[in-house]
Amino acid sequence: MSVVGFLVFLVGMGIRSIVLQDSRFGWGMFMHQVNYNVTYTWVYEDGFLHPHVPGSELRGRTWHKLSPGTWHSTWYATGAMRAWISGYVKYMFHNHAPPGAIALRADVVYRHNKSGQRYLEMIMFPDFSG
Amino acid sequence: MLSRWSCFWFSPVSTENLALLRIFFGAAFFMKLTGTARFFLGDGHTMRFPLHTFNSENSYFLGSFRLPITGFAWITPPSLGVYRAVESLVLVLCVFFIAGLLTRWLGPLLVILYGYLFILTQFTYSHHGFLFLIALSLLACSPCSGYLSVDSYLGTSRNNQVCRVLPIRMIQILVTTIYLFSFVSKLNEGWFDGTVISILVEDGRLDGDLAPLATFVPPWCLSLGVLVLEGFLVFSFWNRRLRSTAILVGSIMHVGLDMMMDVTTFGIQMMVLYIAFIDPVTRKTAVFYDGACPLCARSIRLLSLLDWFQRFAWLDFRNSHVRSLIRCVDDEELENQMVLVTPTGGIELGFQSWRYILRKLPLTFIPSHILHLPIISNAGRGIYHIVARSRLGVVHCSPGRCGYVHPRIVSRTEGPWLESVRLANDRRERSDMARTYC
Repeated sequence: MSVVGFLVFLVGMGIRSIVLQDSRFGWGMFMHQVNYNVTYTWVYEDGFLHPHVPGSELRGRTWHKLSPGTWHSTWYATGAMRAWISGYVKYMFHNHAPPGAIALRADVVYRHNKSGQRYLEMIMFPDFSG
Repeated sequence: MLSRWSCFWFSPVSTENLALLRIFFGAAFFMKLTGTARFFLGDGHTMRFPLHTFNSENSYFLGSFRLPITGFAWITPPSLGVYRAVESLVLVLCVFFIAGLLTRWLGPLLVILYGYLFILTQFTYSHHGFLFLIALSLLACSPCSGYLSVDSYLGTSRNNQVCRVLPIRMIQILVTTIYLFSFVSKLNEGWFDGTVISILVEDGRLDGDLAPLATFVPPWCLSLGVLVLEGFLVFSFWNRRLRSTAILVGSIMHVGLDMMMDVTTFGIQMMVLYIAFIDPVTRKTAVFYDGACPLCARSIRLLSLLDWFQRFAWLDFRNSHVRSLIRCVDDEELENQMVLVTPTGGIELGFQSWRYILRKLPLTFIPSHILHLPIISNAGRGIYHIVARSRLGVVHCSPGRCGYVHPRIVSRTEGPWLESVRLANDRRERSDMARTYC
């Protein structure tokens, strides 16, 4: 059982990293460089949108990965970028949501290897898209 | 099929490899904990005891952070003081782990504490941290303190000289999986045309001593080189003939990468894990030396110190019992040069036997490949014969007068090497019979 469990774990993590394009836990670092720029917006019940400016909760390396309005880069692929941003959005909504806010939205612009095609993506918590 | 599966995973094996993995992998972990993350460090680097990678200025995780991984959300980060205390404790446990003190208890504790720190620092996730966690877990759950440990010295480890091959196999599979997925993930346009290398140069990531190489060599050449090497390493470790080449190529690749860019301790870890692929074949290789020659005796003493895997049985051919067992070589060959019998019954003489020994010793494995170059090889043979001849004329001493080899080093006249010598004797007899028949 331990042998099968170990093999499933190692191979499963590797396949996960390729399928989700998230090389964390899957040994796929340096797949490509992801360059991304993120902005955060609070969404209110009446449809009002207000930009979110991070406070002291982002420091050191978290600031280097998640601060809005500047280009960041990572070698752990797009899945890792999504995981970090959604982790932060979820944390902020649970702990620092302003009164009346129903969600925190992150708009991400990213491309691969600096010169690649630009992609737009929205990460929101709670996610109302179903 | 089932028996082959069982044999692959559960056959008995000496724990010497695990002991060496414990020591060297523990040393690599110690390097990480003290900030010595590369072989080739920049100027002004100092080790810190402990490093304290977490501090208030450079916090890894958010206040009241919950890990965004299913099943781990209940784990909360500690205060700064507790974090530092845990980190210091991990450093102390690491030293105990290397020394092999109370490994059965302290090993798992080390893994739990390091795992706690690891899962809390997911915003600075790195492969080398993850590899430490997995490999330390495997070693901590294995009988890795059977040799070269305080536990074995004190006799507190329970019959740990032999164990199932399971932990070794798991480490071998781990190394292969790393190369496999690293190779597969690089099969994209950015690696085929060298864009990735160009970006690394542009971002200033290539800052080591070998970094100028990237400006001379076309980027696609470097990127394709890495791809080919990683693809080769996926399968070559499992081929007995290619294994030593794989270890050599992998080591050169990781040292080269380490000299080119900051990959922290990852390359060091991978090279240490290669130990799992070294088959100890304990005491199966017989080396027959001249016990009446001080030079030979001193050489054997030195070689035995470097024989960490206990591969060789060192035997004085002037011992009458030993002499009676050797029928695969004649007296003249024994008198003129060192004779080595491999586990498969092959015979190496003189310079070739030295080269064989050096290729099997961990410290001399890489440089020994130079001895295969034609010029060096021819020169080596010549020098060996000069030394061997002078040994007989100048430094020879009468039997029983050369007490240089400690009795503990000289192997017993019974052991696994007897099987190798029997194979060599049979081969020689068959060859002699064929010659007579012809």
